[in-house]
Amino acid sequence: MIRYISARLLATVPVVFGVTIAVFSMLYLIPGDPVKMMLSEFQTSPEQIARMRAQLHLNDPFFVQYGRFVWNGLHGNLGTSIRDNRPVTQEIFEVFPQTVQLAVAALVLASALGLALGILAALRQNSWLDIGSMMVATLGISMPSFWLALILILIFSLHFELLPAAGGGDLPHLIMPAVALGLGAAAIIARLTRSSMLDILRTEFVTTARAKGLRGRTVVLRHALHNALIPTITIFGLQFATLLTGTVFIETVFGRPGLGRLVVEAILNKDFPLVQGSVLIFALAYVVVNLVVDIVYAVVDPRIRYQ
Amino acid sequence: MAETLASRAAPAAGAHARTRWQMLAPRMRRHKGLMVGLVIVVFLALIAVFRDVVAPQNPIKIDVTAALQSPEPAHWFGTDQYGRDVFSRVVHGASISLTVGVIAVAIATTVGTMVGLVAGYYGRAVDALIMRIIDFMLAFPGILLALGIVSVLGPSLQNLMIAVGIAGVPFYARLVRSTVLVAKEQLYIEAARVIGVPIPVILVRHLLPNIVAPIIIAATLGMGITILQAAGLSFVGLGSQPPTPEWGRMITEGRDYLRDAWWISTFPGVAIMITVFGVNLLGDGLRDVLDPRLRI
Amino acid sequence: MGVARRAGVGAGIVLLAVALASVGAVTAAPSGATLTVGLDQEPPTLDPEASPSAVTFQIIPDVTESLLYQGLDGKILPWLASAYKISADGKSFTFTLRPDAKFTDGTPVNAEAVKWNFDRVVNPNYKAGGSLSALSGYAGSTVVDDHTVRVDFKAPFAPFLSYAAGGTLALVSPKATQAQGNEVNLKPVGSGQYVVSEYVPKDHITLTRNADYNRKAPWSDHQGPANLNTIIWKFIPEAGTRVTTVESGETQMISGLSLPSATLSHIATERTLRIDRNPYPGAPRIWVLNVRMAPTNDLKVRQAINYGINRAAITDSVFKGLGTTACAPLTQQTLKTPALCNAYPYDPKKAAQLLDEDGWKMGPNNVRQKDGKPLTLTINSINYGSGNLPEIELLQGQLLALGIDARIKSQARPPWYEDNYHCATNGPVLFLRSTDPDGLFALFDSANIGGNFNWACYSNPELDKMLQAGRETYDPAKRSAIYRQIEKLLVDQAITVPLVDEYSVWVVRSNVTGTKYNFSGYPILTDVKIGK
Repeated sequence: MIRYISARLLATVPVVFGVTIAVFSMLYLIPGDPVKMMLSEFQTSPEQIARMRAQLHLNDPFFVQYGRFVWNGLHGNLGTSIRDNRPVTQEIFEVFPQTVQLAVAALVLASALGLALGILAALRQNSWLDIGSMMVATLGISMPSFWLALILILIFSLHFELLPAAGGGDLPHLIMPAVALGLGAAAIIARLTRSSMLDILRTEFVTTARAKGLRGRTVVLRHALHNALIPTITIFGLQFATLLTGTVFIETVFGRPGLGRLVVEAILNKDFPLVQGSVLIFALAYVVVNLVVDIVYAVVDPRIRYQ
Repeated sequence: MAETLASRAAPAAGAHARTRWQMLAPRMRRHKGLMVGLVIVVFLALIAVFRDVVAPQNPIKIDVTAALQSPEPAHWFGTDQYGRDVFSRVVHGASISLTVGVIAVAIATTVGTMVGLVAGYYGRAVDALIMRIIDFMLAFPGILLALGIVSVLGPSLQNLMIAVGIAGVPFYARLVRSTVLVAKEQLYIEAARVIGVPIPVILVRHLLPNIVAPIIIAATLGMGITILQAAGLSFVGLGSQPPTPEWGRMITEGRDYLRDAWWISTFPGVAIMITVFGVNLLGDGLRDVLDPRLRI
Repeated sequence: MGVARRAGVGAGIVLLAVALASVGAVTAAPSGATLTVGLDQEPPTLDPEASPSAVTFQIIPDVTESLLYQGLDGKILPWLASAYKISADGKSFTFTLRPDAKFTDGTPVNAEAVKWNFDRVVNPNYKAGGSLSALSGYAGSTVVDDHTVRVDFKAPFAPFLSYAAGGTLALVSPKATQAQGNEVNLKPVGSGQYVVSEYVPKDHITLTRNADYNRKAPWSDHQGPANLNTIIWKFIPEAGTRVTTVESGETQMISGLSLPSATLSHIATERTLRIDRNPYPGAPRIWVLNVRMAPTNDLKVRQAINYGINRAAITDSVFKGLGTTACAPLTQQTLKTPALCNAYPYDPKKAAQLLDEDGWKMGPNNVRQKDGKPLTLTINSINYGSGNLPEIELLQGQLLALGIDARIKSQARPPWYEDNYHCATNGPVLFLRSTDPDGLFALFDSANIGGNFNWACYSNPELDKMLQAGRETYDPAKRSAIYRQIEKLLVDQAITVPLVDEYSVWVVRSNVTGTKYNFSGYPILTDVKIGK
């Protein structure tokens, strides 16, 4: 177990390295002079540009700059946003908890709904409930989350005036974003739970348990569910990561402060330090979530070994 | 010698494919979901091709005297704030969304397949290097990768296809690689290699047929995700540009009018949903029929 | 329904608090209430001297004060300065400061502070915003005594009084500003009736009443501190969402910027809401035509565009209720020019004829061409995050009807500026909320090509002379005559396509009274009361 975990941790290192290289290189790949872009809102003299270049150490070789980027990043310094003139890390961590809150809320909702629907559908395979709920699930996967968000606003804010349409903070502000974000994930979890339940229900030990005279419900709860949940855990992790990035659209629709909205605005504003910083944090969060999921998975199911 | 063996293998593979098809066709026809999906996709493709017949009104023609009309016989889906016919825009949007989906998936599968074939076949250092790159691409969630690419290339419909396409590459590469790893152990591949058939020939003639089914399934299912991603990027302003009647863009444009003209945003959203639904049903069905064990 | 009910309860508690407060403190103004205002975007900075953006100046009048005040009627009144004197040569302005004014950090608003602020603006190491052009030709300030300061210019500068009354030259505390570093962008320290107590980026700004304020502001109905305890400015970019919040009572007031016309007419019928409308001064929404780049370097093409754009269609549709049809590069509120309103009546036939004469014949796909080259142009379109401004796609559609293939380059503020500085497109649509006709100097003086804001890239020595004359002329009648002449030249040369004379539009709940607006059309909320 320890060996697996350390191997898994070790495997993360090159990934993180690659991520930082990619994020750092973005500044070199954009067409045009980043310094001019940074100063563009204000009248710029050649001296100002030269000063800014020196200030940012842009005349150093690529790897020196990259080294500095990583070093500063490790010290919590990801540069200064061009538009707000504030530290990038500060901007990110001001809003990041809200994004996590939204993603967690969406995941809780998606899991509850998805598991319930998936188990029910599997137990009543080929019934109308099964076919109907799987149709709904497929529709759920096919729906653009941002469009669903607008429809929710149309119904619950504009028509019934039940829920606030914009902003962050308290629970009423969280409901619609979490639903809009989580419904797609609920559909995926439902489909997966159903199929892994069906797999387990077909296996021998369930049949054996049934043959031994255990009643249906006990079989399901004791044996099938436990085993069926294992593959679903991976999906939870994967879905959580997807939900994190899904906030890109949802936060924009609901005007919620968060990392998703931050990254979109930074891209539209060509605020490159902020783009780099927020993309980096997004990617690292994703890596960490996947890492945790893999380890949890290994703990739950010791058969897994690192290949 | 190598020539004759290779040329003898090819028709055999073709004959094999025919019998396989004959075996699969009835199963496909019996699969309800697959058929429904197929009907939806064919229907949408027809609409996209014959858009000028289905919706003869110019989708970008502005007429402010006809602005914000609710759905009525003259404008089935109403008009937007510029007086453009929403039905016409939705219909013309079908060709755009399908084109974006097909091209982006084509980019993703082509590049992904090549990379996956090479990694899987050569193994060792080549594989390790490619897989590290793939791993770190996978460290970026797809949409973020696309966002990053768009931020570098600049927003346009063309860059959108490239961005979403590239973002899909690692997924296909990994799928192809794992399939190749299994397939290359088979005896006839081993034989071909031993008698010195050139590697590109082995890859394309012998390995590729093995992975066609998974790729078709993955590409179909991936198409749905791709269309959603592309619409999402257009929605936040990083995709198609006006006056292009692209569905994601139309949803954005109607956003401020949600209260007084719900139809502007609603219909393009329904169109996206139906399209992706059809594609997903088709993909699910193909998987059930072609390769039920495939977990995608 | 739930939200509405909760808001009702909230208001009940607030009322109770007001009642208690008025029982407890007889002398103090009623306090305790909160006004939440929905704003369309977050300001780039709250530092008035650093901001290039109008958004800042919608928030700041409650926090910082200027030497003078210019009300809706255009009259200039004393504010921090109790009196001013202009030297005979028109180059020096001497301000007498009130002895009782204090910044909220306790330091006095004295001559030294004024000098420090103005020197700060022109300091090359400081990223000044609109303030820089408000101090054009600044030669320095002199502290005459503690309460008297003289501001000198290299040439007579008639618009300065209006600029000294504007938000860009509002004063911040030298002591606090030097101490706080970058924090000034979030919490500038002024001398006004509110202080910025909380700034949550991307979400809201909270202003708290300055209880020590003991003066009577020039617009105010009372002496002493503001009425409400707290004002919250909430950033809600989506116009539709903004409307929802004011209807539900989540906000009590919202900016009407880019509100869909349909929504405005719908609001007009709601008894719980009212619309405050005031005309904006300065340059209206104009499409500036880049005279350096083909095809807009051709006068015939520019004139054809002016004839071929149906401005009434714009004010009748997406700008319905948000403005009137513009005639010239200054709004009619700033300078009445009825003669220019008929300079280019909407006449697509005339437009087509001009283009035909010029050699642009109709080609395939309804796009005109000359020598095999299609008639295409690029509009530089600013995107604040929720898409193009509504007039842009209308322009595109109307140009297409003329046989002109217009591309929209939709981009965020920084790259949009960059292209404007480099004359890299056929021109942006812009507006300039200048409180003086001198705004035309920024827009058309040849010195401002490559800077702010001569984005037509138009260079005409004769015009430069007239613009300088306008600056140096104090006599109102003569000034107006000069600017009428300037406008005539600009219209004859078709340098711009004037589109909309805009209103400053705010949607307010009916129970909110006492909203006031300064000459720029920006709200002042110190006298606001919230009724039942």
